[in-house]
Amino acid sequence: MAENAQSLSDDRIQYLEGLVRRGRTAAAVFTQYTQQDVDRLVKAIVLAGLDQAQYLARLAIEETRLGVLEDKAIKNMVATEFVYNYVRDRRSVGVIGEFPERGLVEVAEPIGLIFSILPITNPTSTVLFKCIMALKTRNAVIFGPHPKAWQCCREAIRIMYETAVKHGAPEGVFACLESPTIPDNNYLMRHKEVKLIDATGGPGAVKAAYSSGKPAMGVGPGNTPVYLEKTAHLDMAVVDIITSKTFDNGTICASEQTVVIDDEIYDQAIRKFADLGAHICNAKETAILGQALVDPDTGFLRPMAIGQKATDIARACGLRVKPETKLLVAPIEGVGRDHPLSVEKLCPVISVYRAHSAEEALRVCVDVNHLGGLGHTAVVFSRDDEIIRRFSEAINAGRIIANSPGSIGALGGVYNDMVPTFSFGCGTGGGNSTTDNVNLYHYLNIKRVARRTQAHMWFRVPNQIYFNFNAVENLRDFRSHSTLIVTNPLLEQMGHLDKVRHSIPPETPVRVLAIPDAEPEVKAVLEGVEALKMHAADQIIALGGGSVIDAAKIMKLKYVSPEADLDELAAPFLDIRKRAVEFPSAKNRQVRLIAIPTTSGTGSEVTPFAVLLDKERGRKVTLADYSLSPDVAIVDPQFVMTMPKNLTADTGIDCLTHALEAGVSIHASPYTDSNAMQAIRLAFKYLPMAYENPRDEEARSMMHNAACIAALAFSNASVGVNHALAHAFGARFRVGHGRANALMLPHVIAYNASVPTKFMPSPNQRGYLAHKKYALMADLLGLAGDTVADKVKSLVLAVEQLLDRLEVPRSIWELGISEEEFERALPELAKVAFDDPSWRSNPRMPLVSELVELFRAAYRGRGPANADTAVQVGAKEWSCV
Amino acid sequence: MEPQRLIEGLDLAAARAASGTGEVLVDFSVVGRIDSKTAAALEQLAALAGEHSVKVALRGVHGDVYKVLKLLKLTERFWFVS
Ligand SMILES: NC(=O)c1ccc[n+]([C@@H]2O[C@H](COP(=O)([O-])OP(=O)(O)OC[C@H]3O[C@@H](n4cnc5c(N)ncnc54)[C@H](O)[C@@H]3O)[C@@H](O)[C@H]2O)c1
Ligand SMILES: [Fe+2]
Repeated sequence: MAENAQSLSDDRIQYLEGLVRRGRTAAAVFTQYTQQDVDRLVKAIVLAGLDQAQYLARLAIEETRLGVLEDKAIKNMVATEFVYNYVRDRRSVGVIGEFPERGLVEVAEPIGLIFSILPITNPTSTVLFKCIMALKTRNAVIFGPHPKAWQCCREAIRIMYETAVKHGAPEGVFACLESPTIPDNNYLMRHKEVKLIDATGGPGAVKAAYSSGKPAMGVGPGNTPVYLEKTAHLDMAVVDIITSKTFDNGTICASEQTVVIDDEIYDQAIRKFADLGAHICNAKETAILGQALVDPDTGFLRPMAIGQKATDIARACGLRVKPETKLLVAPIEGVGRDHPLSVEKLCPVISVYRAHSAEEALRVCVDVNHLGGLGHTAVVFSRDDEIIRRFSEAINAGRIIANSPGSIGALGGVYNDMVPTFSFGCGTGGGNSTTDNVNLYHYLNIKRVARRTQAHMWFRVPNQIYFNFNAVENLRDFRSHSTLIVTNPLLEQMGHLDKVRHSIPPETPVRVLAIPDAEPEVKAVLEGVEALKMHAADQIIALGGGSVIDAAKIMKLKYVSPEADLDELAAPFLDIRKRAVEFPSAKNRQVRLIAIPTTSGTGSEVTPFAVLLDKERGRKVTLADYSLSPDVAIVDPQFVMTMPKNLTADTGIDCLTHALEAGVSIHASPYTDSNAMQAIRLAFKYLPMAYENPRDEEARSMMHNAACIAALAFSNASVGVNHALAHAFGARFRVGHGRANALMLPHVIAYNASVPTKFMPSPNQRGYLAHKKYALMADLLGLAGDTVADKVKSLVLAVEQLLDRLEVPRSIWELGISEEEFERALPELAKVAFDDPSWRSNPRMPLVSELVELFRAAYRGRGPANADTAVQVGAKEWSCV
Repeated sequence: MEPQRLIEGLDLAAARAASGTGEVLVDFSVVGRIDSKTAAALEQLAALAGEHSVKVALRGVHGDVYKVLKLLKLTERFWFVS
């Protein structure tokens, strides 16, 4: 039972409870009906409504004494025939929409029992319309008519109800309040069995509906401005306005209220109104009308004028007009309280305003719109699309009717393709929840069945990769008017630069920029851009390790797109496919970037990443975009023969880390897997050989390939938490990238292989895979183990043994960093690591506390190579694999 | 099943419930749909069963019918057996 029953007698409450009980049962029973069932019912009531259109119109006129019989009959027909035309072939039961390409299905769920308030202005037509919508959507309705229109509504509801039940609708599907009162409405609006309030009526009813705390559709009054612009088809416009404004004596709330007319056509327009049966008021008559029709206290039209004939209104106000007068036209000079006729007038009285410019006209229309008409309807007559556009942007109205009558236009389906309705949603401007023409979809709960979709994936790599000894000779094929070689002084000394120069066609002008022998900084990049500009270069050859190649990538970016803002481009992102910033790439092809790596690790020669050192903030900034990928990669092992042992080890571990992380990444695909697995195999086999025997050409060559192949994988699958940790730690303690990776690696494998505290959302994977992928890697390497857990352990052990062979320190402690210093740095390290984009593709979502633990584990270090590893971070093993 | 026959069956069940004897089992397995009258009869049956502490079990209730009972808040008042 609802509260708020104070002013109702017990009998009345019992009566209302009875209505609710029947309606609720009907709604429940209705849920079993099929589409065919409801379509049969709808057709039956539509035919009954059409049959009784004139009868119901007559009843409405007799009871309400407003409007025009013929127009009310037409409204009843529109409410049945036009609405039926719209709903007939639409699905409203079960599956109502299917979007296979999006994996979405929409399923209808009825609302239940609806309480519906009916207006005095369109009583029977609104009943017909709402009954059709309710049956189509399997809902039951209790109607609360306007107290001065309840008998005609009751008759309309009776006809609808009896017809529906005769054709099989549930008993109690419609009910009409007898002798309705406001306390009845309040009682029902708050009743817990009423699931939705659909209030069509004046501001009071709408406000009550929204205040009830129930889901409600309240559609209320308007104040339709019309802009009659100088390019309009004037004959059409004047006839349309008269047709619309006199329709049912102006009772449709979408009808025209104030016509703002351009000065150029004002006199002509007024003459046409007069010619077609309008009475044009002089200033005195306008003042009299204003005083008589509008209540100065409320600012609203007095009820006695609503829906009356123009001649009757004139007579009542003491104006002398011709007997055939259909419309009173009142010129006004402004909008607002001082101009009473600028408000909504639901009768055949229209105000007109002379505007001296489009700006003035739009201003006045906005004023009218804001004087009680927000969100409702507006009309523009113009042949200038720009004017229609400006009007539509300036006016806040759910329906902006162009070059057609406002009232009949807003009803939809007659003059335009809007949805036919008798309820105009007015959006938040009108305190409503929708700007739509209320229709059957507002009478449904629409459920969406969303199937798992496959994200768009790709495998993007440079289209030219040259490899094996002397691959550098391929440079001969690349024509250039001006080439800049970016390298570093050490490589120049080692003679690598000369080898490159010799392979460039002799006629190519070549300059060299040797940048400092360290990770790239903004300063070095900007110097490079200056050099590129000075020599108008069309080709950059980056000869060096990851640092040089990364620097060259950013130089190219800033050279072809000076507007590129590196800070903005380095903005964090979750998924490269969806990230917010866009790299400028239009001019990317104007300059060719050829990367010749001299280390076997980063794979920067094929990756879309560039890492820049932000010295001021003590952190690395990672830029990621396929426009950064070099155009050509030359993977020539002759350039890595000179790598000292520790560089071989560090860069080789970087390569291995790339492959291991890409292999378990949530973006891994069969394409990246094939590369990752091959790179892991090559690194395990050839890295120790290259390390122990630097002159071993085969080992060097294979490790060089491995680095590039691993990069093909992580260019598309990305890396993981190992890199996030290494970036943070390396930047803070100035430890090289590969070494930093090495210190984390065994711990991260064990971490990823155990049951995550938090799973990473990964639409492309079915279940958690990391531990199984690691087991697969162990298989590939021929490691021991029968179960997945055993194989993971073997892999960790194999990594530890490899690191031992490469003489990599076992712990951060061994680097000489004291525990106090490390613990002090730890909170910030974890923060920086958490900000690093690298882990966004990690299979396990790291908690900040877990990052801290991983750092601590790396500090303590990995155990002796044969021990049951030291990895304890979140090490809950999978029990069912 | 004919709604009328179903209602007769429910009336019978209600009479048994009213006499307070043991358990009442109503077979719904051939009932594909119920109408407003049947729903009202079920509400009455539930009320009587509650009054006399009689356990009423409905057998083989179809999904659509179950949903109607749910909406009418009757599911807690019956036992459902398959
Ligand atoms: N762009 C990417 O995809 C990517 C991926 C991983 C790492 N990185 C970045 O790459 C950088 C690390 O690159 P790196 O590991 O290649 O090291 P590096 O480029 O910093 O080079 C390290 C040192 O080795 C020297 N060197 C390079 N080649 C040599 C050779 N053939 N013989 C002797 N000495 C040689 C260099 O002069 C330098 O002093 C880091 O900034 C890291 O963040 C980038
Ligand atoms: Fe790396």
